[in-house]
This record gives sequence, structure tokens and C-alpha cells, in this order.
Amino acid sequence: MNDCSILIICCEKMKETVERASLENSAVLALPCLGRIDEAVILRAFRKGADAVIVAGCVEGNCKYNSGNYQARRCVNEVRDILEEIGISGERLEILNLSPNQAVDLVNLFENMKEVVLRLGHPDILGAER
Amino acid sequence: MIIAERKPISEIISIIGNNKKILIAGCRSCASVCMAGGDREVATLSEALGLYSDLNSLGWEISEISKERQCEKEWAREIAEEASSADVILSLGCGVGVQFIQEVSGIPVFPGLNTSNMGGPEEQGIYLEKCGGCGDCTLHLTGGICPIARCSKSMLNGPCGGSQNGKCEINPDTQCAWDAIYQNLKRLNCLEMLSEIIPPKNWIPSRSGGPRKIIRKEMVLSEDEKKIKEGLE
Repeated sequence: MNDCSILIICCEKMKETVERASLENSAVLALPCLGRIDEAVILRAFRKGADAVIVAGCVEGNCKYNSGNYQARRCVNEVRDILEEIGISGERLEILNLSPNQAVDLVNLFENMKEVVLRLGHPDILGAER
Repeated sequence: MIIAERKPISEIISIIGNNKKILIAGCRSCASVCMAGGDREVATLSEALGLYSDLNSLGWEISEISKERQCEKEWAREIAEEASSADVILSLGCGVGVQFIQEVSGIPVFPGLNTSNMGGPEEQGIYLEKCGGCGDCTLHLTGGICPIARCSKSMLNGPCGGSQNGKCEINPDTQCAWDAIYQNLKRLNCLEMLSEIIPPKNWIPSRSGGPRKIIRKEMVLSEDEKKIKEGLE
């Protein structure tokens, strides 16, 4: 399975880094700050067909708006719990804190997520996970 | 404020049963402040249930509405009107809200939250029960700390022998209410109040008489006023 689709939600500060990584079969949703993210946005991504979601923001303590990346981490943790509750593996959702010159970390995580999707399957066969 | 938390999604799914059209109703008052049933939580639950429905081909049609309060008939009616084409209303208000909406709605109203207590946020995400709602307040005698709600034994004269280093014997994370009362009275330079024995409490206004009702005679509308008000609606 080579055509998995992974959504990367990032802040404006990380947008260039994410785009520079040129990740295949990915879509990028850039928000002014990860503090804008909420649980519904991530869940909707899965409803719209994402196989996995990566939330990428700046290093904790380095957010332009102070705490957006901390808020995003709490949000991701909550969505992971919700996904598990409805029978979807929480492994399909990851958060990454990186600095602009660490695109390689994003590439590595992206490859790991592709493997996760390969193992778990597409959303239309998610029922098999349970 | 009322403290509540969302039921596990598996329980909500079980409560929904075979119903297809679901209106999730949020409350922007207490349930919103305790991050259990405000606009954000309504949107989250809506997407979560939608995702569950998509995965299992259940065909659920989920809509959302939030009002300033569910515990007043005016707001409850607006929610009920919005639900005219729904099979069920899933309320993310407290138990009071569920009952108010059900009173004016012709379709079933299900609770999406477990209502816990009267309290407030200690810090973001941490809520503590503060008031036992006993109907006979003695906070003026206890440094502003309710021994009914916050002492594990609801002791009116404490602490008991289970108080150790300011903590209650039932749980090392639970503050001893009577230690807190002592600290507060000390801070207020009122420690002498501890030498007074608080007499047995009047429990008549508590739960023993069934559902409690408070009537403020001066605020009750006359029959004529009620007719005028009904005519305006």
C-alpha cells in the first residue's frame, strides 16, 4: 500500500519546513498557531479520509504565542483517547515539536507513520482493528 | 457552579441505540466552564460520533446546538424546537438541563454527561467539590470552607484522628478540610472560633424531605401576570 494519505497540521512558523520536506501523499493544513487546533479539526480529518495525522509545531517553550504547542499536545492526547474509544488506533495520530532546521525529524516520523498505516490499513477497513 | 464530566463515548453510543437523527445540545454555562459541554465539546463529540457512524455505516445524522443555559425553560424550548426533526436530543448539560429540555420536548432527551457536584475549578482541568448543598450554611463558622462537602466524614467539629500532615486518611491527595479550616481561620486571625463547638446541624432543609423547593414570594408572578407573560411569548 503506497497511497496512504497523511495530513500534517502545522503552525505558520513550521509551514516552510513542512513544505520543504516534500512528503508524498501528504496534505498540509497550516494554522496561525497550534493553539488554534481543536479536537474536532483532527477528528474531521479522519472522517474526510486521512489515514493518519501529524501535528507539527515549534519546540515547547518556543511558541510565538507562548503556549500554543502545549495546548496542541493536550488536544492530541485527548483525541488519541477518543480514537481508541471508537475503535481506531491512537497510533494514527502523532505530535512533533521541531525547530525549522530539523526537517529530517519530520521526514523520519512521516516514514514511521506510513509504516503504521501499512500495518493498520486504510480507514475503510478500520473495523478490522477492533 | 455544577461540575460534570462527559460519559465514556462507548456508553453514549450504547444510550443512542438505534436512533439515527441526533441533536447534540451544549450548555454555555457551568458545563462549558468545566470543559464538558460547551461549544468545543459539542463539536468534538459530534465529530467523534460521526466518525464512529461512518466506520460502522450507521447513517447517523448529527446536528449541534448550544445555548447559554439549559436550566431555564426559555432556552430549553429553543433547543426542543431545533430538535423537531431529530429522533433524540443528547444533552451535554448537567442533569438539571436534561430534565428541563425533556419537560418541553416531545422526543427523548439523553444525558451525555455525568453530573457530579457543586464546586469550581482549582486550576485548569481540576475541579473540586465545594458545597454540600445542605440547606443550612455554616461557612461563617468554618473559615469559609464547607465541612459537609470537603470533610470526608462531613464532621462539624474536627479534625478527626485520620488527619495527618494536612491530608485525609482516605487519600493522600485529599486535603483535610479541618486542617484547611484551621489554616484559614489562622490567616483571618480568628482561631478563637475553633474553641466554639458547632451544635448538631439542622438537617431538615437537606435531602430528607425529598426534592427541595425554594419559594421567594415577592418574585412569584400573580395569575394575571402569568397570563400577560404567556400572551407575550
